[in-house]
Amino acid sequence: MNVSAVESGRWRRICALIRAEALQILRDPSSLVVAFVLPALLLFLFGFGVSFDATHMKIGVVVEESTPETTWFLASLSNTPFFDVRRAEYRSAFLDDLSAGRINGVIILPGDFSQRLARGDTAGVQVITDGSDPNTASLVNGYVQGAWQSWQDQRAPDAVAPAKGQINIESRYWFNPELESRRFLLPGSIALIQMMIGSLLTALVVSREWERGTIEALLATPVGIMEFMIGKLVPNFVLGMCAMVVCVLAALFVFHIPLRGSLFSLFGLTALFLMVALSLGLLISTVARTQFLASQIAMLVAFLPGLYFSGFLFEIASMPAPLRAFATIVPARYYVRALQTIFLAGDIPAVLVPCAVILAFMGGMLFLLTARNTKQRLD
Amino acid sequence: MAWTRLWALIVKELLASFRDPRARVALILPPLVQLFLFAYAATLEVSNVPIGVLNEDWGLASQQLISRFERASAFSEIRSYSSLKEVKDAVDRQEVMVVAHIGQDFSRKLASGEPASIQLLLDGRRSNSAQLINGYVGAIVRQFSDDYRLGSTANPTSEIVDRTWYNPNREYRMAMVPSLVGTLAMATVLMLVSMSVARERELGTFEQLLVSPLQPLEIVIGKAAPGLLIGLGQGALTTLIVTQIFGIALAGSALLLFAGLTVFLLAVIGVGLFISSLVSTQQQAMMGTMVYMMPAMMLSGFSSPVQNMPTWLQPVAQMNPLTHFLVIIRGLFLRDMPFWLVLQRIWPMAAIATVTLTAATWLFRRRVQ
Repeated sequence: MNVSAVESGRWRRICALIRAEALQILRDPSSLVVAFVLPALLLFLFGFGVSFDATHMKIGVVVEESTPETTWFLASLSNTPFFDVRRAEYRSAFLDDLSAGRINGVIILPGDFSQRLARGDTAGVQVITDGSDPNTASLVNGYVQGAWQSWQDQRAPDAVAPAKGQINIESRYWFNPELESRRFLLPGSIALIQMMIGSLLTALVVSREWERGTIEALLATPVGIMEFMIGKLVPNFVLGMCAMVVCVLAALFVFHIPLRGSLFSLFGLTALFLMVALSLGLLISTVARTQFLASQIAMLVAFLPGLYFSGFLFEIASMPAPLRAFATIVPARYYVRALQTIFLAGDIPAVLVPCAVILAFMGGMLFLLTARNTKQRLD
Repeated sequence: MAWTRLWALIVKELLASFRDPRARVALILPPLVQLFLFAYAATLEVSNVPIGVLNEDWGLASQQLISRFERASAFSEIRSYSSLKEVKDAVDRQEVMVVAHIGQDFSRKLASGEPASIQLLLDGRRSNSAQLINGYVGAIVRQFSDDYRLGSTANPTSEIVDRTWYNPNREYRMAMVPSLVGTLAMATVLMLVSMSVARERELGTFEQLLVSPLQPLEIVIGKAAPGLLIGLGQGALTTLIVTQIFGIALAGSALLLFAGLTVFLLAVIGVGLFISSLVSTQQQAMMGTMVYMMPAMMLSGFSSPVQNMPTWLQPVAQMNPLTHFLVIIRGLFLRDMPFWLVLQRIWPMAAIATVTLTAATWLFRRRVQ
């Protein structure tokens, strides 16, 4: 047999495998659910369900003695669109609400507030926030501070010279001046979706073959390890790319996330990341061999690190050193970084090239490791 | 007689859940890993990040301000840049998330009593972190300007005294870790229960179960009870770890917590049984579980508050048993929520449980016939 005949036989086998795999995916509705319904659902959930932008903070204001001064202060609070203000005369009125988590904070204007202002003493404003939600507590504090500042500015006429030592801070947020948390959460969630589709689906599909024993039959044929792996990877790769198209369309047209980079870099990096995720899925399936176990391992080594250590939700720099070290080997981290940059900032080679190189390296290593592992498992 | 049969089925189910050593590991390990990951990795706080400085001012005041940044625990180091172009590149490359730009006339204006200004350039790609950093820098600058002013003017006309109740340092961990008592138990129970009928179908033992004297309702109870037992056990274990190892005290009543957990688990079991009756293979059960779990977690106030959701989505969150149970958990762990307030959250869960369990039993009967 000459070389070209060997080659053509190999190609024929790979094509047949890909066809078989594709047919299986098309036949089983659950794979299509994974490829189309799950991404849409997850994107919907991340887009609408997760938001750090508190726009309706429920605040109780205790005015122990109502005077023109307190009315003025209240007006400056109500002017902020972020507060949903309720009034009472006693502190006890809001105790239950705070305890039940129905309000985010209480502002207390003590009985001597106006008296002290008139006298020129320091008039205290007490702010109590609910620490069981630290993020909202910080926001409440910040916005109360802002409302208080504007109240003070209005009170003190311009005639009075600005206090010595005054420093104004002018903050500019690049890439996301509207400060919508959705704009960075959504690209991050795409990474999570790709990780899940890639590794979970592959792990399930191949471990099912182990479970049913069809893999023995397959490997008794002239199909080689590499051919087998390629046959498994290609259809799932296509599935992942389809899911990506769904995600990108939804991000652009439903959630109005800007795409400042190019489609080429977006899909190029996605292809690299999918290779990593799919190889990881294959590796898992060779180790697990049952569907239940495969899905558990996939959750443990693919999904959870993608959720915690990719930097899309949680802050890697604030973690303890061992966890920071672990985060450097989480593939999703590089993909999230690339996605956030491509969507919000544009094609910045200084970010994208290192990410691409690292992902390609990880993909290659995982592929080789899987090939070795599969071989060993058969002997 | 019915009791003996039921008891036998429950024992059989428990044995089946724990028989396979690998399945045993799969049941116990992920919750533990999640617990520790969550305690140490799930933080929105920002610390240990570098801060960039572009200082065009030659005066002393700017040096003093920069040395304050250096001492702040939130920042790991100061990176100096010499032009806006360099700053832009550094932010683009994500070398720094924030750069403080101090203009030429900073020290002069400060000395002459004019308002001076600083420009903060922040990377909005991670806008939540950027906002927090903005807050830190703001606090440092305010403190600096207060100290600069010290002694020069009379006492301020008004001041804000702020207190954070229940969690004085606003530690993220204190707020997040207790909620795992609910979410982990939910994950385990949902997985167990939704797999239970599907596994029997796949292995072909379901027919055997049907020809036994067990009534459909008894089968449903027999499948539900082990889930409840394991869920309660896991809840107890998680509570122990949270209070003993992570040192987050349970301020409220443990009895109330477990009353809430029981009702919550019943609602979850109803969902699990429903999925289980619907599907025919374990893989489909797994997918069903995932498809339910994701929204249940996201629309519960677990990662971000329900009140931040769009108004049309909030009623959906109210139909989610986890939403109510998380309020109970946070209330009991941190706030010592009183009995009647907890009750206000238990009855919606009881209503949801009634609906899910009834639906599951109905579907199960239909599938059997």
